[in-house]
Amino acid sequence: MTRIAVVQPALRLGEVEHNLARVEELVRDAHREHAPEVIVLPEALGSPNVYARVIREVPRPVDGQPLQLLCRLARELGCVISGGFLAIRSAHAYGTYALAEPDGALHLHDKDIPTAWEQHYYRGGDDDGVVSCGALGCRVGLASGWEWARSRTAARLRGARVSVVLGGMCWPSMPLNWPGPLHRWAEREDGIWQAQARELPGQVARLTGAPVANAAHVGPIEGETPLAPGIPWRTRMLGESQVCERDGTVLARLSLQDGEGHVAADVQLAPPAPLEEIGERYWIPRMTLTTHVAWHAMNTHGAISYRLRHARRGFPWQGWPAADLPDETPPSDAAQAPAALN
Amino acid sequence: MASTSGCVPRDLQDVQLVAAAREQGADVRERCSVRSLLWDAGRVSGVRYRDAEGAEHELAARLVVGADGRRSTVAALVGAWRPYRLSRNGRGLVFRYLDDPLAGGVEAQTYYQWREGDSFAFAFPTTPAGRLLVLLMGPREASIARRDPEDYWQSKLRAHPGLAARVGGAPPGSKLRSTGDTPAFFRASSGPGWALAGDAGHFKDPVTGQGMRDAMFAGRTLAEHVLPELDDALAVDRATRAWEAERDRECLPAYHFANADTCVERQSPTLRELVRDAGRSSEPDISDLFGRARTPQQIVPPARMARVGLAALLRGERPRRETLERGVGELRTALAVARELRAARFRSRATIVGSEHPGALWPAAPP
Repeated sequence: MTRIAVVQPALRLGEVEHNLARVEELVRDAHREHAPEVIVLPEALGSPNVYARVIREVPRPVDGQPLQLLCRLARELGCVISGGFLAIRSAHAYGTYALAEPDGALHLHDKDIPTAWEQHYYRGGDDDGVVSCGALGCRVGLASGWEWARSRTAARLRGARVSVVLGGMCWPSMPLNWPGPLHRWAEREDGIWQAQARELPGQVARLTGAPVANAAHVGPIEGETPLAPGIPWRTRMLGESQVCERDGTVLARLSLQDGEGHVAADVQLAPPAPLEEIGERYWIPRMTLTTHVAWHAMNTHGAISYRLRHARRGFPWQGWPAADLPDETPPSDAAQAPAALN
Repeated sequence: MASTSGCVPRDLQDVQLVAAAREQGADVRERCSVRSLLWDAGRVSGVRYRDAEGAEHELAARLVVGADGRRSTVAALVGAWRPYRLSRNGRGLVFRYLDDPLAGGVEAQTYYQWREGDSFAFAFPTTPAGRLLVLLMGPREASIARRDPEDYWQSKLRAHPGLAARVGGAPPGSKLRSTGDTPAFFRASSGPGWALAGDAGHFKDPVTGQGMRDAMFAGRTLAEHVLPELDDALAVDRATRAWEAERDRECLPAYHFANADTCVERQSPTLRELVRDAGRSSEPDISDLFGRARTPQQIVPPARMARVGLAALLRGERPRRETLERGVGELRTALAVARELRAARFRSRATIVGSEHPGALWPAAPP
């Protein structure tokens, strides 16, 4: 059996230094309490991903502070650690999810589609999110954010016969500060999203036939409203960090109400045995009309905004000299950390 | 070939640097060694060091600069031990200090180099006045010199009559020192909370005498980039990375120029013609390289290279086929270097054929 811990942090908007320090504390605490072989962190460790001007300043060099934190902790604690952050890779920013091994091996996966407003801040990657983890001795599927919710992700990981799916989530709810009928509508959507966030890890486990560990952000957050300057989007991260068995059984869980913390469970890493067929639908959960409309509108708005801002070098991170890391870095000794090159 | 120049021995320069740092208010702690780094959320936040009495201390820092040489402890501790760009040096390096028999004359203000076959010899006037540094470079140089230093010295004087004349009458100098371990390299030299300056980050063949100059450049420009940003960790990281890019732009031309001399072969007919041309034409002088007044690309643009190449062909000192083949190869290398400099890619791993030589060995990191 392999013990996997999931960490559910409550992080602050745009405060990268503070957030990474908090993540380090939680990882060390999880390691002390559970002695796991794997510690799974959410995506977006630098800052929760919401629509806010400050997110433009969150991306860090792919070999920068967030990655150094993951790699050094993996080596020091002797366990596999995964987590995501907005990474500058050559000329663009990506939602990169990293899996760091104790022997220095490193695997990177870029989220395929930035979700809605995230399109304003980074762009999608094109790798398959399937990596070979030496420490676990198996193929691992990596998924980030709403990648979890897309049927094509499940199909990709199932096709690659991964033995476990690890990844992170940063799922904010609908705005809870809007008045009158808008409030009732948002509350209804929020309830649906909470249920979807709760059920999704188990669904992915059954579709891929592999145990899954999904770490999620939790806690209150205040962003801005796209196309409505000055109107705040007060909400919360939905939590639902889980470790699930391959049949979808939830072995360990932290809900929204549980708040910040970590839990762990033992799973068996074995050849996958899917229990359900993957449908023809785009989404695994049944998304509402509101979600569909918001998805398409915000994606389009965000993608145009990113392209225009990038073309006029309007992102602060475009001032960094550009370099990149390969998606796969082999094991190395402590004197050789991953360094972005050209 | 000769030009006005001067060389400061490293030990004298270090004393001056420490004195200057103290004068500016720096707290210099001598006879201490760094044991490990302090880390905070993926960022270097200080050092743990041992003092002369063996006691261990911690020192918090907003930036840790490893200016600790090619075998940099800091580079190993931050994970930047192995260079990302490395070129083998086919030459060993032997040197000795002498009392200059021509002290006080114009010769004592002149930098000499002699190139006979595949052997190089240099004479640098040094500080304090009246001293001379003689540097010898050639294949397997270090091992031969270690076997029988005096026999080696005499053989070099025979091989380089110009050198023998320059040092004739000098009393026996310092003992011969040597090394065969001089591959050129670039390390990743900046990261969260750390930077590598001087030889710790970049090293090239000493043949061009640029190492101390580039180390001083690195120290000065690093301070200029970082000092205004020290209160903001992210700004420090951005500044150190921008500084690394600037250092590379500054050092790449000299790196490639020095690499050309690390291949053990007869002097290029084109280079010989270029040296002759430098004495006759009003175009930029090749000695500007050593003072870094101009880059090799500014001194020898492709048109000038083609012209001196043609002159070498016409002169016919070497078989024309050999001259032509080497000239074409050198032109190809020069164009590749020029392309790389124009592209200015950060931490480029491009291998420039004709400049960089594969097969360099790199030691394991210190335990």
